[in-house]
Order: sequence, then structure tokens, then C-alpha cells
Amino acid sequence: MGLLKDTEMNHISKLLFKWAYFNLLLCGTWLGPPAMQKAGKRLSMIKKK
Amino acid sequence: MKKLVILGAGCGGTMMANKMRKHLDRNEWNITIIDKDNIHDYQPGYLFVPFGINTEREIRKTKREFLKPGIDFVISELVNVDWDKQQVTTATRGTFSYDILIMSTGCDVRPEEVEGLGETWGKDVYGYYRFDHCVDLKKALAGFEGGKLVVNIAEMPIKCPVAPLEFAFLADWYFHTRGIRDKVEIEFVTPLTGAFTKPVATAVLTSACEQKNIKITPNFALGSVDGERKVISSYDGTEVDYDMLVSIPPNFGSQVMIDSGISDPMGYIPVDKHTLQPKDRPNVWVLGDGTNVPTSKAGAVAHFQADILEENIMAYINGEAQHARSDGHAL
Ligand SMILES: Cc1cc2nc3c(=O)[nH]c(=O)nc-3n(C[C@H](O)[C@H](O)[C@H](O)COP(=O)(O)OP(=O)(O)OC[C@H]3O[C@@H](n4cnc5c(N)ncnc54)[C@H](O)[C@@H]3O)c2cc1C
Repeated sequence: MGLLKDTEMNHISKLLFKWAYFNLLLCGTWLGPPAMQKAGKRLSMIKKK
Repeated sequence: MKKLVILGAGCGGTMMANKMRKHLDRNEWNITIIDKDNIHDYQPGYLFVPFGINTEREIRKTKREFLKPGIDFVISELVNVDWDKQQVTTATRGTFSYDILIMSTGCDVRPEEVEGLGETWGKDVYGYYRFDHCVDLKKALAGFEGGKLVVNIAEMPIKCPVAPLEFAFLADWYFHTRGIRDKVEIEFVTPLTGAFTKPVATAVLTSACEQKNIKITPNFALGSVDGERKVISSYDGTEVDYDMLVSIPPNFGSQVMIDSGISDPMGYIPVDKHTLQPKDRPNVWVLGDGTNVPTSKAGAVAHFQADILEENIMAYINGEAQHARSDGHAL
């Protein structure tokens, strides 16, 4: 659950995302396929529930 | 000339206007985007304004600067959307007919929907889901020397469901930095059954709250706010007292959708969750916070929805089958 961790890296990434929002997202830039990506997700934990 | 009209020049509308301008021939298609103002806020930045981490200059821009050339920007409040007549009406700029309509008018907080909340707003009760609210909260936090800070979600759905917890964590950091954390009690009062909606995230976030000494009060459906006694009450009669309340009031879709009779009572437009189209409206698409789709109301979701719309709208224009399906994910 790296993305959920309370780390300085996560905090800085969140602050830096502003740049991506204004410069990439709003322009309509394609940032990857629209279907959910499984990489980095612990799907096994969800299945166990 | 054919007409593509887009409602709302926030996150979803701006993305769609720019995407469609890339595809559509300027000699064949006119693109018009309508919004009530020319201010584009980076809303995730609202979280950081009360703590002095983000400034107005950093998160507040104009809408026009993000729209590509060849997109007409109309600044006027929408007052009616008529799917039968295929036209939308604005308060000051007349009526616009369309061949294709894309709607992304988002949602907004309504403190006045909770008994006592609207009246108490600004008197030990603050929020951060609008820019002016963030500015007031920043001043109030700077003057807060100790006591009980309650962060409360009135009801779901809200935009960015994790933002209230992020606020509580930032408050913990902020009071530590000011050297008064031991004088401040932080309580997170939520209508959810735990810290968050999903079990995996809830487990991680609950333990983070424990480490930060943030108390979680779950299953609390806000009924009223008593500004005199400084108490919030749930429908089942549970009371939580506060010295400062940071409230996330009920979120509603745009009032014009309710007035036009095309939304549910909360202003959210019913659409097919995979195609994002209202029933029997083949030339209308809705994205972002303004739909009734059971997914997070987040810019990240709107971004992936925009990719689906881009593909399907182009297929519709070219008379082809529409294959793209939204799965509602944010990441
Ligand atoms: C505190 C906070 C933190 C957030 N953090 C994140 C995050 O970390 N990650 C994330 O993905 N998302 C986050 N979000 C959510 C994100 O900002 C929204 O989901 C996103 O902006 C939705 O896009 P939208 O186009 O649906 O609505 P908006 O971007 O809100 O745009 C709607 C537009 O419609 C216009 N409009 C509405 N009614 C009318 C009318 N009657 N006439 C004319 N114009 C009208 C408005 O003026 C506005 O410009 C956060 C939101 C908040 C408040």
C-alpha cells in the first residue's frame, strides 16, 4: 500500500501534481489507458475479503 | 456548421473541449464552452491553503488560459438545459442550440441544507471546499491556541472522499509545527463505518489515525449543529462537542439541473455508469462530479471518463459503434 503511506515522498508528489494538472491534464493529454491498471495494487487482499 | 456545446469549464469540461478541438475540423464544428465565471481553481490545493502551504497565486488561474484556440468561451450562468429542444439557456448570453452536448458542471457544498450549519458558518464553524472558505479557515486556524477540533463529513457523497482525512492529518502536522499539538484534541466524525470507504484503505488509515492521536467517530449522520452550545448532533441523538468545527457540508450537483428537471433531487444527473449517457439521449454525455455514477467524485475519475467520452463521441460522429466503457476507477 505504498500510495497510502504517510511519507514525505507521497506528500511532495501530491504537491507536485498541481503542475501535471495545469500542464498535462487540462490540455487533454493522454496519460495511459482508461481501464484500471493492476500494477502496484494488492488485488489479492481485496479478493480475500 | 455543427455545434458542440460543453457545460462547465472546470476540470472535466476543459479537458473535453481541448480533446475535441484536436479531433474536430474547425470548418465543420464550432465548440462552445459555457461557465458562470472565469476562475479555474486547482481544487486539491484547497486542502493546503488553510495551512499556508499553497497560496492563491499557485492554485487560482483563469479558465480562458487553459482553453485551446478555436474554442468559444461564454461566461454566463446556465439557467436551463432542455434535452428535448436540444438547447441550453444562459442568464445573460441567450440560448445555445447543440448537435452534441457534454455536461461537466460538478458539485458544490451547501451548508444551508443542515439545520443550524448555515447560520453558524463563520462562527467557530469553517470549511475548505470553496476558496473563500479556505481563506477564512486559514485565519481561524492561525488564531486557534488549543481545544477540540472536530472534522465532520455531513453526508456522502462528497467530492474527493479522502480529503477530510487528509485535512485531519495536515492539522496534526500543523499543530505540531506550532508546538501546540498537546493542547489540541482532533476528532474525525464521519457517516462512514470507519476511516474510509474501502476495507484495505480503512485498515491503513485507521492505524495512521491511532499513531497521530486522531479519534475516529464513525456512523455519525449529521442532523444539526448548535452554534450556541458548540455541539453537533446525529439523527440518532449522539452529540459531539467542538471548539472549532471543520465541516464538509452536503454536496449537491448544480441547481440548474434540478430546475431543468433532468437530475435527481441532489442535482446529480442519472447516466449509464459505463457509457456516461442519460437514457435515450444519444447526443448527450455527462462526466465528472455531476453524475450519479457510484464512483469517487474526483478529478482523476473525470480524467479517465474524458478518455472514454473522447473515443465514443468520435465514434458517434463517424457513425461507428461505441466500444469504450468507463469502469469508474481513479488510479
Ligand atoms: C478539497 C478538495 C480536494 C480535492 N482533491 C482531489 C484530489 O486529490 N484528487 C482528485 O482527483 N480530485 C480531487 N478533488 C476533486 C476534483 O477537484 C473534482 O472532482 C473535479 O474538479 C471535478 O471536475 P468537474 O468538471 O466535474 O467539476 P468542476 O471542476 O468543479 O467544474 C464545474 C464547473 O461548472 C461550472 N458551473 C456549475 N454550475 C454552473 C451553472 N449553473 N452555470 C455555469 N457554470 C456552472 C462551475 O463554475 C465550474 O467551473 C478535490 C476537491 C476538493 C474540493
